[in-house]
Amino acid sequence: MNITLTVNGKKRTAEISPDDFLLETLRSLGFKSVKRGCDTGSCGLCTVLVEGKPVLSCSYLSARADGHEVTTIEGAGEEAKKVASALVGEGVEQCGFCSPGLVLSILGMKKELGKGATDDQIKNYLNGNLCRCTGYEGQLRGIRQYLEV
Amino acid sequence: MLTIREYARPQTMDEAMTLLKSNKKSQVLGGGMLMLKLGDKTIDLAVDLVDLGLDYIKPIENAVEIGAMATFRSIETDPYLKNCFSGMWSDAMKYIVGVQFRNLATLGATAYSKYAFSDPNTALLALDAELVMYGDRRMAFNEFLAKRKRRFDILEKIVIKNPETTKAAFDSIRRSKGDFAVINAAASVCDGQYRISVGIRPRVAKLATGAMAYLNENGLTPETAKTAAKMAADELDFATNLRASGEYRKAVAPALIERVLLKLL
Repeated sequence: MNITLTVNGKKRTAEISPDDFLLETLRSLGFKSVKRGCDTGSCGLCTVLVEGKPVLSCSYLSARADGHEVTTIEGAGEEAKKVASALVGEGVEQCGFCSPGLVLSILGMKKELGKGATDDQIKNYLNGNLCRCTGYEGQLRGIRQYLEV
Repeated sequence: MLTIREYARPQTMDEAMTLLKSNKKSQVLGGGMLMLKLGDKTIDLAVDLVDLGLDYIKPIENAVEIGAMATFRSIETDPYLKNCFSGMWSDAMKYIVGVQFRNLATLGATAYSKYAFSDPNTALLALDAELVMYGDRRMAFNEFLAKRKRRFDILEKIVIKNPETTKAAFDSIRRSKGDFAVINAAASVCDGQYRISVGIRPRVAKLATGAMAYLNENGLTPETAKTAAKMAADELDFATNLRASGEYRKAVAPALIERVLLKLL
């Protein structure tokens, strides 16, 4: 079946199987920033924004995305760069595999909770973004910096 | 592995039901696909409810209607629900994996699937929720859990009475935030009538009717909460799974249930 979705502001069509998930479709369209982590909806590495909300692309049927707006890190613009810069500044990046999903979740969080989110709110919001390299402390500092600017 | 041969996005409930009945191996997609994709299943025709406008939370007279496709996150953050049921829904949802997961998972899917590991199902049982199926067929959630499902059925919405006058509470024991709970419990009181439900036993949530009757007769105090909690733990059965032994669940249940009941004071 064919679907048409708007990815990072541009209309894209894709030929998919009904059981394809958005993760596979986005990667086949060239958006390699969308990573396959656990593939079971637990780790958050595959996070993309659908209509501005963070979702797990490994568990989102591509057929369901037909007609919707999807944002990956490639299209998240200047705001994503600010987040990334704040994280890098705190020495957070190690393997970098969790970063695209994390940055998109942070953007979703800022939209929902605003700049005044407490540390507990940040931790609760980002509970679904796992990182095997760090202990999350640097990320929390980086996020705090990003929100305060 | 999940295989879907054909996919349809009907625009009305009638269309959805017609599609469902058109194929013996059809299946409703009413949730976030999160559990479905983990299984090994072939679906000839997937009937996705995503375009039916069932993602609503609507106060009505003396009740609230929650559409079957309302996501966990929308329920968790809904401004109306935050002020209802003592704000219990936020507690019932907030430790379920992450926000991305809760933006996909729906109340209808967890309820209709009778998931035993579900936090919302324990809450629904304590609130005496009513499921409304296609064709306005209504059933108390407690009754639904005990009965076999019909082959062709579509859950349209969940109705919960007295949102503004019901006090409710939820709590769970889990190894880490984001993981499935080891055991959970919920309780509610409205017009002096108490309900206590315990879930992830690891079987599906169940009412502790003996403990409920005790509280209905004696009222709730710190002392009766302790007694009722022990009664509830004694009357329910617990078993072992990957996350905990039945003995552990049995041992911690009284404290968890007491904690939930004390929140109602």
